[in-house]
Amino acid sequence: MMPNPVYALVNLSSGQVEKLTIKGEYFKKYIGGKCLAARLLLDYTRPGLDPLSPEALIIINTGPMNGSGAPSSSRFNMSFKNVLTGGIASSNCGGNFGIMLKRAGFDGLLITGRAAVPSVLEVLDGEIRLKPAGELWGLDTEETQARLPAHCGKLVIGPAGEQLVRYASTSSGERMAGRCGSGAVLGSKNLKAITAYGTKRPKLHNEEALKQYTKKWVAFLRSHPITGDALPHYGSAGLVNKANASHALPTKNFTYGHFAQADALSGEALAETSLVRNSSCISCPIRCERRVMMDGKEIKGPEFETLGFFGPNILSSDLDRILKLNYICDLLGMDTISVASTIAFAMELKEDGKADFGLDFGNTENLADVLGKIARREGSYSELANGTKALSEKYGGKEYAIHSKGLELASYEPRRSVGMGLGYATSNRGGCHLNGGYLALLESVGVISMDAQSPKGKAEWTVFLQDSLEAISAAGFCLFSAQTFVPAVFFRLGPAHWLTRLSGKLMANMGGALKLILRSAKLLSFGSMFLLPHAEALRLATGLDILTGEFILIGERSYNLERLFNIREGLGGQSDSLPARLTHEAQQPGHPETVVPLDKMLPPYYKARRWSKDGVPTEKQLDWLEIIQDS
Amino acid sequence: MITIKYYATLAAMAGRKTEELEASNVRDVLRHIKTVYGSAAYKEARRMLITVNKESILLKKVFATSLKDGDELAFFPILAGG
Repeated sequence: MMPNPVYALVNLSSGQVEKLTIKGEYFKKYIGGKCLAARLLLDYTRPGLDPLSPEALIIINTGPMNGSGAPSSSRFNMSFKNVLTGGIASSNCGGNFGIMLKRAGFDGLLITGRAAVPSVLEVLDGEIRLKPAGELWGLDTEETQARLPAHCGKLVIGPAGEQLVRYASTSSGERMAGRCGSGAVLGSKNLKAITAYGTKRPKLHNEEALKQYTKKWVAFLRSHPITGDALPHYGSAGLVNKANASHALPTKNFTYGHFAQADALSGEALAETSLVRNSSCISCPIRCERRVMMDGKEIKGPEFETLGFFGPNILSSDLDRILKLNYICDLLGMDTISVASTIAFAMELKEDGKADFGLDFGNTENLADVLGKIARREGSYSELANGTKALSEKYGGKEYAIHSKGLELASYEPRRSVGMGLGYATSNRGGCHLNGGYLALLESVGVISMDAQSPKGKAEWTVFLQDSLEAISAAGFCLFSAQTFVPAVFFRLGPAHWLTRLSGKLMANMGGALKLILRSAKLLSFGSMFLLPHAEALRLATGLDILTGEFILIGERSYNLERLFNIREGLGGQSDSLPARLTHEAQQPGHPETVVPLDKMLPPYYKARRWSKDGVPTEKQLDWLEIIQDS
Repeated sequence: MITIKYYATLAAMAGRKTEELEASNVRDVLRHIKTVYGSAAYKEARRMLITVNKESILLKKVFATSLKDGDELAFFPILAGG
């Protein structure tokens, strides 16, 4: 058996460090990553805390698969009270910090308190020390990492985190834990960086069998048209043209879903003009990362979200500018989605005559400068550092403030992908496509398409996908490893083939079957390379009796735990909402169906989750998930 | 005259990224691809995402979709993941 996870409880105020071993029951039920972190946040924090107060807790942890060598298994997690929503936050990252933390002897860190001076937390072969690091304060993420020892795994914040920008991110190498404000939490604790180094190898239950399974899985990923061809060639940027063709590409602060110049920002254009090579996180055969040239320097290229938000959503088609803005956000340590979406909102505020921050749709000349001012909270730009929701509370425009629970939406226009709208509204961390179940993949940007305007079947699919993605994350895998879920045969047939179209129709009718699967998950005792291959790898790595059904159940447990945290903090069913633009203004004039029919989808969603009509997990459900007896 | 745009593998098979053609519907264009670039290119084209003036035609009768002078027809690879 894999040993129970070992965590360190670090109090930055007192300098006290305590080692704790996670009890076996918790390991079995919650495995690690965001699922175990949600349990620990409920256990260790009291309701109503200011997320930026010294008392607030941030959990930086790994999943059991980190460092196992399994495909796409290097993602570590950060969970904390969400700086933008006040509910739960989880944010994961593909940098090497997680694996190095494990090698240093810890599966996770629980950090509370506030260091007296700007500091670096050093985790070195089982020992933890807090060191002053005033000389690093003010430096960008690249410079900060350059000044830390080269052999360590690093996790750092930039100037935005220091200034408590509410959507400040955290960097490990060039990879970001982007969403929800992890950088602000570390900044509030005076923690500029954490380094980790060690030589311990993670103990795996059945290393040889996992190695053999990994070989088969890697071959499977490489043979699939998405993970073996499309993502390595175009990365997530390849979605631009597809989303645009389906009118699901947010344009002008989600006024439209289609941008005439989108081709100039596409993955294909990026591949032709700027791409140097592709790259990957540790142990990932998919290699979706874009490496591009900017002013003679090789840097990380933009993801689909960044292209969408610094492109069509502010009416720009300047790809070179986007490369630069993406890089600047990474240096400053800011989430590109939230900052660019807030900028788009500010542009519309100006158009609407409500506030003027000197920002205009279509004008990107001043944005590099503006990003710096936001990150350093200079003058009125400090207001933009608080995000879209805060801005709308002060200046109005709530109907077009594009967020859910306070977190800005991702780059899929939900009026042409209504299940994605349901996902945004119910996502525990706020308007996130991935935490929301990513139904856009089966509605508007994938090969199989359910009717993107119909609510039919969307509630059940959303629950099933939210739970599955939740478990994949908790184990430490990248969600891209789940893209083989859509069988390769459909890509060979193409989206126009009758069988592909028929499958889309059938999927919309699978609501009942999915509910049955979810309710009998405990009986699904098989492993499958096609449906959640992650489960078998997890079983081989840990020795825990986890097969497909139990794996989905872990995801469901996690989703319910996070929901409990949100309810505890006042974010219940009333917060499962979207701005009026998306629910009441038709995207296409004359086509009233081009809105998100949220009121029609929420009741079946709560039912599929076995929650009350108000969106509260019932005692029966918590008992079934074996959650209630922990508390 | 219709402008045709080829992407990814299809562009490699056709040896070009764009061309102009007289065509009254999508099927005419596919026929042209088969004749000029061969069966493999034709098969590849049929399984790609086809757009007319940057709009998906999946909700229409894809191959029978009519075209008019000045239209832009594009063949994109099907992708997912973001």
